[in-house]
Amino acid sequence: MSNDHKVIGKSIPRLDARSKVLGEARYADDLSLPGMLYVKVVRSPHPNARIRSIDTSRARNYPGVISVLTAQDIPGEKLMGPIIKDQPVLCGEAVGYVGDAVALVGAETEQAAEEALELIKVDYEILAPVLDPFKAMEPGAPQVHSGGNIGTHSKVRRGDMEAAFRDATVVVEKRFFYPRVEHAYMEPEVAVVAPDPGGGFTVWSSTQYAHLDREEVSRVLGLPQSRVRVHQMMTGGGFGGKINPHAQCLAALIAWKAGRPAKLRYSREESLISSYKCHPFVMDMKLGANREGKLLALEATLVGNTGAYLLQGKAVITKSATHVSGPYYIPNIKADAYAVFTNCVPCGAMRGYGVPQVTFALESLMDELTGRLGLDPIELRMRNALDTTLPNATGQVMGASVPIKEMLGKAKLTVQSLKPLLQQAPAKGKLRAVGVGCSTRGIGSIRKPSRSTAVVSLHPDGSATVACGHVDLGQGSDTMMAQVAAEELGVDVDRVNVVTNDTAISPDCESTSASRVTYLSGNAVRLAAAKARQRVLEIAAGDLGCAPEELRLMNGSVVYREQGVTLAGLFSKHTFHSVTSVAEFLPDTVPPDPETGQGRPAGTYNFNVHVALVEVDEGTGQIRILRYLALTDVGHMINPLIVEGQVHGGMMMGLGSALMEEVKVENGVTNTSFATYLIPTTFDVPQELLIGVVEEPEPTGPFGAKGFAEGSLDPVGATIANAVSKAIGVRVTRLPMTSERIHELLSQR
Amino acid sequence: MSLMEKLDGGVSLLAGGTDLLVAMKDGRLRHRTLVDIKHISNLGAIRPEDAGLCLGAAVNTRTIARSPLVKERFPLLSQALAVLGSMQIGNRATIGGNLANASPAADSAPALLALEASVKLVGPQGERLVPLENFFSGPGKTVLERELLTEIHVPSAPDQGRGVFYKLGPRGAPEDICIVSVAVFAVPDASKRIWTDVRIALGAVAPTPIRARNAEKALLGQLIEGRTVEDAARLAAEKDARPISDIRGSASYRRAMVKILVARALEQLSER
Repeated sequence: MSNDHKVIGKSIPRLDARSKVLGEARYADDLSLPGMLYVKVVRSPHPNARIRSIDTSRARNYPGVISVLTAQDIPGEKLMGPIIKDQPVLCGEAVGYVGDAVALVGAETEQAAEEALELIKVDYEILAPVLDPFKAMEPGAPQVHSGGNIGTHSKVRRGDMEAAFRDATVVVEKRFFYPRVEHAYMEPEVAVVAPDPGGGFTVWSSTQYAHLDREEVSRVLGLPQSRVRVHQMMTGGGFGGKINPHAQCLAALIAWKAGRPAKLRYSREESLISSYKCHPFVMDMKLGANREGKLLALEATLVGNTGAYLLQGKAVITKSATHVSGPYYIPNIKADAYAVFTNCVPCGAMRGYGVPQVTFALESLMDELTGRLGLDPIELRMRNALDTTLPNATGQVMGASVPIKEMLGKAKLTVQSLKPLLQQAPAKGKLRAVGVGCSTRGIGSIRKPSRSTAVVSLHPDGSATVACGHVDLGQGSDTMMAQVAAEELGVDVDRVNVVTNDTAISPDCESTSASRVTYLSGNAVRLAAAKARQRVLEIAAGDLGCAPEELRLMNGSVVYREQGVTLAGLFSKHTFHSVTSVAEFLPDTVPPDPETGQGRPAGTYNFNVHVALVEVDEGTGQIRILRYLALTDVGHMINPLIVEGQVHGGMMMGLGSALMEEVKVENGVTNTSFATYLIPTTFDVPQELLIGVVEEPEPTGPFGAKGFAEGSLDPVGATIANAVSKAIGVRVTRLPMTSERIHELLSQR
Repeated sequence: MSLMEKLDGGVSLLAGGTDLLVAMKDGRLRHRTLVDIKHISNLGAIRPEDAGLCLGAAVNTRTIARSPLVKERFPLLSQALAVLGSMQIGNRATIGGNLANASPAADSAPALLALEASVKLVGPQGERLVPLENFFSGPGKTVLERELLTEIHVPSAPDQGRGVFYKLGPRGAPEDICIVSVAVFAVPDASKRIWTDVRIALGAVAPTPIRARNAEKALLGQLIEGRTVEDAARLAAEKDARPISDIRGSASYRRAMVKILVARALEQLSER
């Protein structure tokens, strides 16, 4: 497929690489405007309290302070959020967690703003918090919101559970715990907002979804969306954490009140305390199989602690429920997934979106089954893997690009190649074992169909401008979009300018999340570029008296039988300045039914198979990963270098939640810096990390491509836990596997 | 000195700043005068002193870790300082600062305690030499009284003495604050069968870095064998260590790790 492509499938260096390496890339915090104020936020020190009164008088009179704001000053909507808009922009009557925003100060300097914060006196009536989701579900528990503490309940119902478990020869059942995890993007939240002379506002922000910034800022200020323009600045990572423009709204309020530009940048501590996290899950899972190792039934109760606000909790919970059976065919499934309100820090979107959680539980039970059935872990997975005819938990049959069996075959070869290392006697007190983990995920939002739109303008010099709303967070999507357009238009990548970061130019395509950009926007960009090309070729064909199929576009010319007609000449003759086309892509999906979870929720699915060889120190419980193989399925690679980067990053992020990361909450977040919230460093990279890519083109994808960015994280916790469990002879049921926890399990043997 | 007198306590000494600047940024230290001592001559040298060493307090820890003189005479110290922090931290953090900050988890302390180092404190009333073991008085507290720590003296050690340092951190990264650290320096008798001079130092398991005196005593004059190693390790964990539970680890895990790591260190030193 790739043979006749000029730029698709090529490891073209990222278009933003040079500016980043040279330090020329501009981030939101690099921006400084004349007269700009600095914004600081008063945050609640209590997890649950009513606000009796707020006294801002001393802060207002503090030297350098220009504006002080509380909830009652907000001109527009007082609640905000990415999907469910249930978080107060500023709390007026009550606070729901430690870190909830209560008041704002805008001052001439950041220091004056900071000092004035301490002069704002909030009189709280402190109430008993509820922090544990199971306690929150008990009768008589403190109510986080009126309407009960169960924020959402997602279901999957397939088949006859009773009969299936009756027929099962082997049933395994356990409770699993997945931690609350921080995104730890390199760049904390930053927003600069300035009033425009015409009454609108301009926002420059670090964001995953510029159009959501526009929507929320306009709602909070009570303006039409068209009066707010958002520029996404170079963004230092998001991982799901920057789809909630709280900082943008807060900065906008000061800019509105003071009539001056305003900047709000979170400190790392502030980001750790207040921003939403990955949902911690408690998962009760029960899996039954027959003697031959065919899976018969899966029952799961998944409880996610969503914290004080729902925000994205409903969608995360639905994703986890619909992905509960992983890449396997299981005829009978009953899953109940709950997002439970507590007075903890809110949880929302994070790379994986509920899938790493259920993958950890399911893959652990798969390994438990192998023990009971005397089957090889890869063999058991092979016997149950999906193919192009079998339905997943939602009843969806993917007609193509389901390479899980091929991947398992490759994994088997890797496991065999690791045998010598496994048999080689490790140092005294060291235990070695190999583990396998598999996963799958639907690409894009599954809660509702989601459309991407692209505008492609072909210019007379052969260069092109692409406008599309999926911002690049550092993963390289702008480069891939340029490759897609360049391929269709027959030009070099550096002749294509991709504009994704300006709401006045780029159409809204929903957030850069859910591994959706390559698949959705890749298609929209390809279709728009093809449309522009077709239009030009048709015009030229009219001039030349031939069929458009006999023509091709190359470097700014229409080529006919070795003869070239320049676009400049053609455009001029036909009164075009540029040729502009718009195209949309909407995958053919049906959201899961609320009662049964059945539907066709994703346009395509990505699969992953990982293998780890670990060494556990029997004395200390420390884990070292000696070899790691991450096999991923991408349909067809648009840019191998970017694929590799994403898989490296996803794998290491997964390793973080597997081995060390956990946001701890005692009333509020307690690990509030990177000295206590630990993320992997280069010293934690596996001794040898191999990446394998399986290419089985997705017929509905652009050039056969599909999304994969989250997939490389999904099975990491499961894979390492399976290896460690085998090494120590005790089942790991709780992540992260800190040395202390493994030491505890070792002493239980 | 006179500057410190004049400012009457409202002063912090700035060397590498790797602890101080973090405390200032966090707001734990505010509106204080800083006196930069990095460039006071004399504080910046590593000198041989008989068969021992004199380390200027303002020498950065990476320079010490990489010094051929230190590597040759006290590989134990070099080993410990090599994992004191990331390369960037190691290039800034000074040996005097790491000690004067008096963290129970200071990475330089166990090795220097095992090597029986002393610190020279200089004040308006003159100077004094304090054994490092008596220098720490609590978490973040030392016996410094408006004095400047100027030098660390590491006395000569017998040629056949060998040391081992273990740092147990929550990750593979040297910048981690340790959960437990252990330094052991041992000199066997001529027959290499009897423990004669064994010094065991522990980090992050007491209010200050400590010597495990009970464990050391139990070894003195005993045969170098598995049983004595086990006894000493158990005593270090049960009698010497007084750990607390914090975000890095529980008291019981720390105790268990003292036992494991002391035993490992002694076993390693038994292999000859």
